[in-house]
Amino acid sequence: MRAKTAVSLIVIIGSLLAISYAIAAQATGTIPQTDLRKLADFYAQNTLNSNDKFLWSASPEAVTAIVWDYRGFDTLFETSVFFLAIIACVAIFEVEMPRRSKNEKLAKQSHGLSIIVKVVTKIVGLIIICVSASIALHGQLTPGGGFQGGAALAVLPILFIMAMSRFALEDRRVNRNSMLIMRSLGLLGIGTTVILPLIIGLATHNPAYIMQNQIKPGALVSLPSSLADRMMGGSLWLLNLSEYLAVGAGFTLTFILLSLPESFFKKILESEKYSTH
Amino acid sequence: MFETVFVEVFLAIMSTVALIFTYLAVVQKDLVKAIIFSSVESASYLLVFYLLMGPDLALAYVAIGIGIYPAVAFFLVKKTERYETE
Repeated sequence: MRAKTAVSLIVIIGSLLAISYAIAAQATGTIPQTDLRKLADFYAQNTLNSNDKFLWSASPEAVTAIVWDYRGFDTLFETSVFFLAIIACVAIFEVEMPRRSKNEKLAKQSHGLSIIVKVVTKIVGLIIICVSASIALHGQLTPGGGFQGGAALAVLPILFIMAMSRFALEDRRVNRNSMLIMRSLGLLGIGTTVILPLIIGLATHNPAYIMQNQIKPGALVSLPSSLADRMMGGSLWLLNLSEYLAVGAGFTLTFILLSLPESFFKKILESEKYSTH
Repeated sequence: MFETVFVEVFLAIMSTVALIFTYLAVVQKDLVKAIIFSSVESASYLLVFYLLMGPDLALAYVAIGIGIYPAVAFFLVKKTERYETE
């Protein structure tokens, strides 16, 4: 046992020293890098280059522009993988949600942690909503985007479940059905934004690409790059908003299902066992 | 020049802290403590990402590494066993 620990420590410290030596000898160049690679230079030059509108994406945030415009299909398929996982989770937990008995409804205040924790959780909850919305809805201007905002929003139901109970969420109409609807609305928003250029193209008799954001050679369709002097980045803002709703609701859905107590599932399994025999 | 050296030293310290906490999380038998060590590791990687000029990555990491992943792991521990046995 002791020899095993010694060997693992020697391996860890040895690789740490080797990697440190390689970095200190500048095998990977200076960190952080000071010069741009060719690809990075292309994005830096063109993301907000209003002189060449065939290459720009009307957004000062190059990362969001790459994620949803230049490499948009990658993100689209990533999103579909993520939501396949959520759908699998919902399919496994395909049970009737347990209801609260009348006594439990009366004893609402006695659930969870102390009143101080509950009040602080509510204040922090408000802050989480504001911060996550600003991360997601300013995704075309500042670092962040739909996924980051949605993931930040999903911390809120965890705090509520830990500090109060799952029923505190249900009192605020955050339950499985409402979250399924919100997630579907988000995904529908992404789908609509993806085919929106085609619809505009059909209406204006222009050829257009799927998931097109700004005009491209031969496809003179572009989504609005600004709204009342605010930069919207065309499809970027719509996609960020939809992804924010979908990811936030998807994660919340998973947490509501995960917070069901074990005894509830045991009861279901036992009743199934007796019904089959 | 001074800034670059400062950033490099800070990066080295933070990645070493992350390595130490990863090791502790792996060998720890109390799974609740292991999850906390793991999220400390995430917190130090968060600073590394920020210093390497990846604020987008850092924003996703702060929510997932420190909020969602420990929560899911805590649910798992609550439904199974707290102590790892041989």
